[in-house]
Amino acid sequence: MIRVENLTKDYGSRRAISNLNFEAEQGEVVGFLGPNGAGKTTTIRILTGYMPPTDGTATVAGYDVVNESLEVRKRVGYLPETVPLYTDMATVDYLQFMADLRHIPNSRARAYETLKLVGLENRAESYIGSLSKGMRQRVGLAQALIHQPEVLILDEPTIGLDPAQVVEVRNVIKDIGKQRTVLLSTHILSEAQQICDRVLIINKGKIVAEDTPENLQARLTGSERVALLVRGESDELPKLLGKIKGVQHVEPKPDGSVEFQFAPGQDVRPEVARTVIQSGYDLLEMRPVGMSLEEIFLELTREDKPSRRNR
Amino acid sequence: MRNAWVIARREYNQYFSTTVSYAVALTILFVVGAIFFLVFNQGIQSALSGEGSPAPDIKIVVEWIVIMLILTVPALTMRLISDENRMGTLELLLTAPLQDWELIVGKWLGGLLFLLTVLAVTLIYPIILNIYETPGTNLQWPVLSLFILIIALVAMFWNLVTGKRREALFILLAIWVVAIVAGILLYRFAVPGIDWGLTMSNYLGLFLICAAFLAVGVGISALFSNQIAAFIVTILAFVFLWWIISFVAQFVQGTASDIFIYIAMSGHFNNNLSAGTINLSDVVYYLSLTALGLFGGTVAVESRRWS
Repeated sequence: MIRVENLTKDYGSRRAISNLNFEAEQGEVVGFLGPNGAGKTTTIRILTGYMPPTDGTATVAGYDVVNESLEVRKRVGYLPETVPLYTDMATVDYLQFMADLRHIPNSRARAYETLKLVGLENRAESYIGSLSKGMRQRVGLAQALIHQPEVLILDEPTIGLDPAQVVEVRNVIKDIGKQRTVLLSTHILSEAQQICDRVLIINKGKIVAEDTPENLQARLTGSERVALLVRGESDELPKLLGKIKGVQHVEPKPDGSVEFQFAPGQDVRPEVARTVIQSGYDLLEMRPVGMSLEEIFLELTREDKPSRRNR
Repeated sequence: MRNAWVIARREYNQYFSTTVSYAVALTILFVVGAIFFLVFNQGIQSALSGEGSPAPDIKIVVEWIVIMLILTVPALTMRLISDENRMGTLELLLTAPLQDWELIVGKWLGGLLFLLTVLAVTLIYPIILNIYETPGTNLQWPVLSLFILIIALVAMFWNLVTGKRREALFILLAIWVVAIVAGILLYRFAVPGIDWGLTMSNYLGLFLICAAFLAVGVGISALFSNQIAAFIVTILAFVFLWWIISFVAQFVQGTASDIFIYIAMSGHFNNNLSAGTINLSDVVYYLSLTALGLFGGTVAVESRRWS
C-alpha cells in the first residue's frame, strides 16, 4: 500500500531525508519513530502529496505521489502534527466541509457518524475553538477518517490526550489497522509497542532500524545492560569491573550504582558477582536496565557501533 | 469546479462570522448611504427652488462605492490564504483531493459572493432615485426604504451578536427582496424615471472591478503568512492600479501614454462603463486582470509545495 524507494528531500542545501526505503502492507500498522528533526514529518508530507521529493519515488495505494497526486490524496487520510482546524467553525460543519471536499454523498450524516466514532457526538454543534486539546485532536482524527481512507497517515496522534482518551484513540487506530494501512509517527516506544506491527526508527533522514517492536525491544534493551549496587564506597569498583573480560562501557551513576554492558550471549554476571564479593564489597543489587527511547536513538546513531544497525 | 464551490460556500459563510467583514460591509454601506443622503437632499432642494438642475443619477452612489472598494477589499482578501497558512490549515487543503487552482478560485468566489451581497443592498438607491424622478411621487417612500435598510443592518448585527448567521442572513435577504419587489410593483420603473441602461452599465462595471480587485487580493494573500502584510501590499497595489498609473500616464507621450492608460484600472470604468458605454475591450481588460490575479495566486500556492 505504501512503497518508498530511495526517497530523498533537500531543503536548500540541507538534506532532510536521504535514500529512505520502506514498505507498508494492507492490514498493517507501521510506527515511525524518531527524534525531532529526524525527517518524520518530511516523509509524511511527501507521502500525503503536500510536497514533492527531491529524488526517489513513493507510491501510495498504487499511485505515484508526484504524478498521480490527486489519486493518492483521495485515498489517504492525514492528521498533521499541529492538528490544524478552523477554530471559528462548528465541529459538525467543519467535518461536513471536509466530507464535501471529498465528494461524499450525505456529507452531514457522515459527519455525525464520524463524530460518534471518535466519541464527540455531544459536541457536534460546539465551535472548535471552544474544545479542549484532546477533543480537537479527535476532531482532527475524525477529519482524517471521514472518507474511510485506504491509507491513514497520522503525525503524533495521541499527543495532548488524557490517558483514557489515549487508550480510546489507540483502539480506534488498531481497529482501522486491521483492514487498512496505517502509518503513524510517535515519540512513545510503549505506544509503538501496543499498536504497531512494525516500527521504523529514523534519524538524521535515515532509517536506522526496522523491526517488530518486540524484536527491537529485545535487541536494544533487556539483559545486556546491568546496574550494580554495593554497600559503602564504590570508587574503586569501575576500575575493578573494567579488568573483567567481556565487560564493556563501565559507567558510574550519580546514585552510587555502576552500570556496565556486555555482548549478548556472553553473560559475565556470575564472574562479576564473584569478583565483587571476593574484593570485599557487599553486593546489594544487580539488575538489568531497560533502555529509554532516547538511549535507543543514541545507541542506534553512534557512529562506532555499526553492529547495532539493521541496515 | 465542484471543489471550488465547496471552498467558496465555506468562505462565504465564514464572512458572516468574522468581525472584519461586518466592519467592511458597514463602512461601505454607511459612507455610501451618507453621501447619497446628502446629495439626494441637495437634489430635492434645487428641484423645489425651481432651478431645474439635472437630477442626481446613480453615479453619485457608484463612484463612492469604488473608492470604498479600494479601501476595504484588502481587508476582505488579506486573510483568505495567508491565514490558512498561518494556522496550518493550508496543509490539510493541499493534501485534500483538490487542485491548487480550485482552492484559489473558491476563495475568490467566496469573497465575490460576499461583496455582491453587500452591493446588492445598494440597489435600493437606484430605486429611490427612480421613485424620486417619477412624477407625483410621494417622498415618504424613499424614507421608508431607508428605514428598511436600517432594519437590514440591525439584522446583520443581530447575526454578529448571536452567531445565528443563517437566520440573520435570511432575514436580511427577505427584507431586501421585499423592498425591491415592492418598489418595482409600486412604481414600475415609470417614465421618465432614471436611465436604467446607465445604471446597469455602472453595476456591470462594479461587478468587474470587484472581480479584479478580489483576484489581485487573493493572489497577494497567497504570498504572505501575515494578514497585515497582505493588507498593506494589497491596498498599495490597488492605489497603484487605480490612481498612480493613470496619473503617470499624463506625463508621458505617445505609445507609452496609451499603454499606461490601458493598464490603469480607472480609465476603463470612468470613461466608458460609468458613462454607460459597454465596450468589449473594457470587459476583457477586467476579466484578464482577474485571470492574472487568480493565476498568480495559484502559482504562489504551488510554489509553497516546492519550498
